[in-house]
Amino acid sequence: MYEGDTMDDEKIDKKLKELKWIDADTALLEKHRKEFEQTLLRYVAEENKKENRKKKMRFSFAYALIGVIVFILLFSVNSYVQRQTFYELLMKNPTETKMYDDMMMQPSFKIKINKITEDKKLGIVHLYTNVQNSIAVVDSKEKEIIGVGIPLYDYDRSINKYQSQIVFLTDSEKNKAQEIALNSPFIKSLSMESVIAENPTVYMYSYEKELLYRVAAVKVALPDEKSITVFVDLTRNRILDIIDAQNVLGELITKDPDIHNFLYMLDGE
Amino acid sequence: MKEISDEEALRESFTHPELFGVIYERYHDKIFSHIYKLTQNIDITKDLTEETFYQVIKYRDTIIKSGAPFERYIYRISTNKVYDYFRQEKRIRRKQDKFYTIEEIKQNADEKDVTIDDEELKEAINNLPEFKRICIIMYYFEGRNIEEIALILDKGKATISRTLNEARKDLYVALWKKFEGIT
Repeated sequence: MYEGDTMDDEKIDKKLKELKWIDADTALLEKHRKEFEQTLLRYVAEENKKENRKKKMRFSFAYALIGVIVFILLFSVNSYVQRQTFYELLMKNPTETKMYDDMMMQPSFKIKINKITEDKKLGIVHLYTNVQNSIAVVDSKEKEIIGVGIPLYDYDRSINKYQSQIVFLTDSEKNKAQEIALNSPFIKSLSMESVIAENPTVYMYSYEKELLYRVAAVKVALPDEKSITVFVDLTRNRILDIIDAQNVLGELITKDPDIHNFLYMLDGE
Repeated sequence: MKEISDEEALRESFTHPELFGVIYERYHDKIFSHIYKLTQNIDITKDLTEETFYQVIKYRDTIIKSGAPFERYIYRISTNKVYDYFRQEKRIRRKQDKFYTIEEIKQNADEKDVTIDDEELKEAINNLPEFKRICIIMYYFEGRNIEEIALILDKGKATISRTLNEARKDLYVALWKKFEGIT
């Protein structure tokens, strides 16, 4: 027990020891114990339920997190493998590589694929590269490059029916485009001075009809410095449309029923 | 049959809530009495006893993981509740108009034959700062030793010993000052 160091401490210590401090009334204490017991046990049960719910939630969250991590991992691996495959495809294609080299004028430039998007409906893959944001379009089934181009505008499925890109034609494609234009009896019937496939041309695809169009613009020069532009669908070997800004054909239509029918057929495409 | 320990009862209460009743039976009276001794108010005692048990239930996991004796925990929780209550109440203590030195007070006390009334001593105890008040009550009226108080209040033994000395001095000053009509 405490022993005071001074007389003052001793006095107070003695007084404190003598003081009667009231204890809790036993009857009140027992009454409270009985009254509170059931409430407390109900509270324990409720807290246990809450705790179990929390544990379940923690488990669900952990599983969801693992799921997300696994998904990201698989997606990353898949993306990496895909990127490597397409990169090899891009680099092994001499025509496309040359095209890139021409665009950059730097033969040693290293092409990188920044982004890959896939259109499963059309079975094509877009490879967004680091060369002037160009896109290489690949037939995902055949693993063949369909074309390389610079995006004309970003496709928005909810607004546009088509996505198009400026593409560069190869020499054989230019010849093919001219040939297709000249094979049309209608074009053949015109007096022509020259037929030139223009470069660059347009590559586009329609989501509405799920059709692919690799469209070459062929300029047909006529006498009197007049011209018409014939759009040739290289994929289907046919004329897709004609632009007659100078109304060269206007008079011919009225005179020649065959021309009329031909243009009517084009409108119906 | 082997008696279930506090820790086991607490652990098992997660799956069998009724086992918390064992703890309740063991500690209700002790905690109720402990809080009453400190507060001397039956309504406050009821409230703080209930809050103590609610808190024990809420922090069962922490108590089990700590590995410390349950008894120490429940006393610490209840004492902290009382401590918070004292602080909330912020009892207004009498302000001293004039400060006397211990020597002056002793001199006055020796000159007069004075007696200290129990009620005045109680009042002086209740006017002590919260921590000193708790230490004095636990030491003198609950019969706990310094080590026990230190464990419950989570302080060192030296701190408790020093607090008790200071509290006694405070009481001495408060009481003798009163007899001098300094209030």
